[in-house]
Amino acid sequence: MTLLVWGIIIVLGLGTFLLKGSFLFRGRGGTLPPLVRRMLRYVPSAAIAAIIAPAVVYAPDGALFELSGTRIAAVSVAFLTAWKTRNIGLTLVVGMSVLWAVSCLG
Amino acid sequence: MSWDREEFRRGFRSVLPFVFGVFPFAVVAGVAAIETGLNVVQAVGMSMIVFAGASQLAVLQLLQDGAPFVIILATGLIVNLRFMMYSASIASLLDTRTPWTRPLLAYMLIDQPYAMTLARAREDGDGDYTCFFLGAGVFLWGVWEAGSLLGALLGDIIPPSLSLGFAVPLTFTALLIPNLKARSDVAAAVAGGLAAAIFVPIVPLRAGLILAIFTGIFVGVVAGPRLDRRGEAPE
Repeated sequence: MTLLVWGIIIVLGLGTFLLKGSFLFRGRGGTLPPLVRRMLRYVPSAAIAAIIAPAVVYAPDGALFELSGTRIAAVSVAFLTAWKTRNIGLTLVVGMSVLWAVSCLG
Repeated sequence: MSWDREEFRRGFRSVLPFVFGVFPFAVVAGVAAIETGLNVVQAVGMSMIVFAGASQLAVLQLLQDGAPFVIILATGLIVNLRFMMYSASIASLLDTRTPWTRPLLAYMLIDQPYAMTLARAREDGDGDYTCFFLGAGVFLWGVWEAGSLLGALLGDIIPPSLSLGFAVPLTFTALLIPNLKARSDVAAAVAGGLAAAIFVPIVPLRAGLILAIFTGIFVGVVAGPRLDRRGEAPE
């Protein structure tokens, strides 16, 4: 585990550094091909949604494809909070409160 | 580049409002690292060496699920591909003639300093905004590392029964909203999310996340021209 963790930290760190420096190291800006630009544009939306989806519709101890009403309720309220306030801290507080409240009631 | 303290301060002030977002995000990343089984040194080391929050949380999740090294790494790098786009469009606004500044500028290239520097250049025209950029970057770097350290220390004392792991998807929910600028962004997010809900539990080697991200990108690219009116989707 220790070796795997450090391996990931170092290789991901180096790779990320090279991505950030891709044009800075060349010393001048540039333009990426239009298709690449269009693809990169959707990376954050697609990646963030993909990262959260399984964690907000399934409980960690649930059966395969068994939806968790508690988590879906909590994230729905959190989504509305984030949308209206753009405040991460408040979104966290509201989302966790709903999760705890519904878990206690259920 | 000539050192300009006023510009550095101005950069620092420009990202002050982001502290309310970056700090809790960093704390969540620190807690998540500990819950995954990392120790405090590894948790803070990750925040220092990788210094890209979304990819950190993605790889922690995959580590927890026992994904293979190559899949974890590929997923983290895909999440960070956007930095290439940042690098291309910000290079002309920073001093890249002095070789020693290049690694520092690359390291500091994260979302908010990038956005603020480009906003500044739109207002004041082309120029050298290196000091402004560094002011924003160095300050948020400090916020990120302090938050990660606090999270890592908290992670050791918070009982698992509080399901604090759920803070990760909640943080990402808040981070998703500003990315949904056009209809095609929403389409990419919905497709990526649905694909992940289906693929992640069943695709072998924990490769479902990568597959889902590409599904979202594909839907965005294909549906983009139909969904977005002209000029609505700046690239």
